[in-house]
Amino acid sequence: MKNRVAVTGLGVLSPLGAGIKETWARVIKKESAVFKASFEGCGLFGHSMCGSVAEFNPEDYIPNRRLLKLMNREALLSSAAARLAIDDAHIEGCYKPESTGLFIGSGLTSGEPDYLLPLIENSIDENGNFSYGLLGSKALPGCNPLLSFKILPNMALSYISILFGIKGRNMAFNPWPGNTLQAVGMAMRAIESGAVDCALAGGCDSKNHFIGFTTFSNLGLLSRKGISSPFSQESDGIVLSEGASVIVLENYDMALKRGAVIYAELSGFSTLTDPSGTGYISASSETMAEVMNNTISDADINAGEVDAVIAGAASVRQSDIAEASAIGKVFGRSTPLVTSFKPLTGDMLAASSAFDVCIGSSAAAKGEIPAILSNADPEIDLNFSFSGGEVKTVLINAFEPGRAKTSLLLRRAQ
Amino acid sequence: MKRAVITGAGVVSPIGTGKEKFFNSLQKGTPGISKLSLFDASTFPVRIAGEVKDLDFNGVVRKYPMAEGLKDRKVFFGLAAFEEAAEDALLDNLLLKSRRTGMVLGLALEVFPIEEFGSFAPADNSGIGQFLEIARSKKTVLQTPLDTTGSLIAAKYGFRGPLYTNCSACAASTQAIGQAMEMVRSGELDVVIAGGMDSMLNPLGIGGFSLLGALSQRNESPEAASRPFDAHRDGAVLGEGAAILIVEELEHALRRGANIYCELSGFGSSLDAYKPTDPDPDGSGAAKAMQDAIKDAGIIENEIEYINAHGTSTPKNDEVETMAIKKVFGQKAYGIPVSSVKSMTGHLIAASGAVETAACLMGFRAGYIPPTINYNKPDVFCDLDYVPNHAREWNGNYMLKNSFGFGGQNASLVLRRWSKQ
Repeated sequence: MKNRVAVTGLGVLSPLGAGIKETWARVIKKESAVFKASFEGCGLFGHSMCGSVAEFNPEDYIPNRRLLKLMNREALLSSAAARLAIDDAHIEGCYKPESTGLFIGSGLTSGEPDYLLPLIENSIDENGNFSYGLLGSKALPGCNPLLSFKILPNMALSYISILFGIKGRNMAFNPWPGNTLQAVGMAMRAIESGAVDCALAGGCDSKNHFIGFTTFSNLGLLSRKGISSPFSQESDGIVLSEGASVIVLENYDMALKRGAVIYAELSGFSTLTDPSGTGYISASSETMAEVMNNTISDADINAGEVDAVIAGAASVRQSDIAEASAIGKVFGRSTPLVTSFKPLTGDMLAASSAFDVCIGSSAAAKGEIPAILSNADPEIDLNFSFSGGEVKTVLINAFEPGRAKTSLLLRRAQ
Repeated sequence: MKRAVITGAGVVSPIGTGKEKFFNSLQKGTPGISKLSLFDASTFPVRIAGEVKDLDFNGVVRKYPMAEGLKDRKVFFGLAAFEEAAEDALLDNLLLKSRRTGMVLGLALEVFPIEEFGSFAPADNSGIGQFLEIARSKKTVLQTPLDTTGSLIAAKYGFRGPLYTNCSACAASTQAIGQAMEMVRSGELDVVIAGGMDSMLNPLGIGGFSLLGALSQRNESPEAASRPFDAHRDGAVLGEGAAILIVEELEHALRRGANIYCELSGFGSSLDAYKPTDPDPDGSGAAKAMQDAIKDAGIIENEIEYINAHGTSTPKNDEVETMAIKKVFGQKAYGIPVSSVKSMTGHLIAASGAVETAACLMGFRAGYIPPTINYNKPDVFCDLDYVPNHAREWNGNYMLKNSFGFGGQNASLVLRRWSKQ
């Protein structure tokens, strides 16, 4: 008999602010936080529109100054999100460190331009050629000896463990939104099986800088207009962003016993791979539909009971078409409300799906979900609506970029 | 609960590509560390490594044309190890396409090809702005995402099951095998392609890790540089390679007449929650992983007859691991052989757990456990039986495999001799 899983803490850090209350208020008002950024080299792109976590003071969340110096942006954001989640759940001291799990997704390595660029500069000889000799004799000795720890993608997980004393089952995931949703799914399975009683799960990413813009523009995935408008005629690619979200999950009965406020029950999870396409965008509606169907049956409900879908909504046209068609296949005439917060936040990539779990949990608790999308592309066959009524059950999709297609199902606590 | 067994293995390592060659080298105690040849490291503090020397890269590209031009060596290692493992386990296309076949791959970090970026430097030294402009105009994607190997295998074989990309540093591939075991035991999957691949043998990998002071600088005697548990050890030696294991549900394996290496019967996973750079000196996180794996296997400590150590050859790690083993096994620790494959291969970071688990298979298959080579002088704090310098005959039933990573992630596995009872 598997244990039920409760969502009891939400830690959100996004361009829309810090904490679930502030974030929810701004999502409801449909406030966009996508702005023109100014990073070194930003003029080389058609635009510099992206989401940024502004007014973020890591010291507000992380008392250990020595650790602060070692942490990279993703580690800072995710540790702060973990602090918010733990406070929101009022969970400190409730579970043994060994009975608490940790499952964190991180994004493509962006490196730390501040460290990497001087390394390159110092390795160039007088003729302008790259020299291994100079790299070894001049560039490396002048560089931060802890460079590797600024790049290792498991560091976000490691710092959360150190800062909050988490010692149980753990795993680090990489690099796409679907992989971060796997982290939440694995945390759910670990509680279901009794491997842990409580877990922190989530993801972090930061691509609102030169390396992020270069990578996504070279992949042909960067929006040329700098506007994220999934399922609409305007959509032409991804708007980069950054953020971190961490969720506290607990054994449902234990959460009830300690009198926790339960946002939602996490009751369905599925992940599959799509072998078609490029590895970044595969746009296969069959796989997407299969993952959604599996998730709904994992939760032991019917498609008709799903009130809202937080779509993957990559804002890449062929991908949106595939997801729209997949949603149509799964729900037939039951037409749930379909929403996405990417127009407001940009695509936080490996952090986006964890953000969606936070907003979805809050929505299940409040009984309503912010409807953000409008202006459907007349050429996309939308078999669903962008507005709706009471929300008890929410399906979350994390589909693209990446081959890992993952969905999760949340429902109001009963 | 269902049972999980290993039905296939593929290895790419500094002591041989292909498991027969690998087992052979392990049995002989062959050192795999040599002078770095992959790039000119003459000005680097560390100039030695365990390089893979015998992989046919062109052969891999012929099978995976999409891999052509990739700069990241570990992708090729992973693909080659997968091909060997899949063939060994006789996985046919139907099985590879099944939704009940999964894949969990462990990796550490992306390669940052600094020499490629270096080639963008403006000839007139006009500064970073110019550099950015050239980098931008190249239109090439220099990043190789960590899910590339899984993605290439998926594309070639029409793989549709769950694909996990685990980046838990040095514990990654041991965790991957543990997760595979759990998904098979829960009935979620029939077959899981599990393992890991890594290569840090590039300028920033070697350079970055040597800055940490964790690497041996015994540049003049590479073959003797990796010496886990020896009193004169002075650091790890980086190696590269990959191993893929096919983890399968027992009944499924029996039905199709698969060849069974051993049973996977326990998994433990823990965190030190101490420091990102160092292991917890009291070894409690490491001990917890071992205890959990033993408990998960449904046995008691006394039943473990061999421990395949993490054994990195750094002064601190080997001492803490020894202490943790004593914490778990008490006085009995002195009677259990403990050895480190890293003495021969070097530290394969994310691939180490999978390659070393593959080394354990030799114990069940050929009746030998691998030695710890370069073991000459006992250390006061490392006083266990480290199977010094010569492989040893072994016919026990249970082995324990340890992996402890940067960032404090720990994972242990229990392997059991398979028998029909």
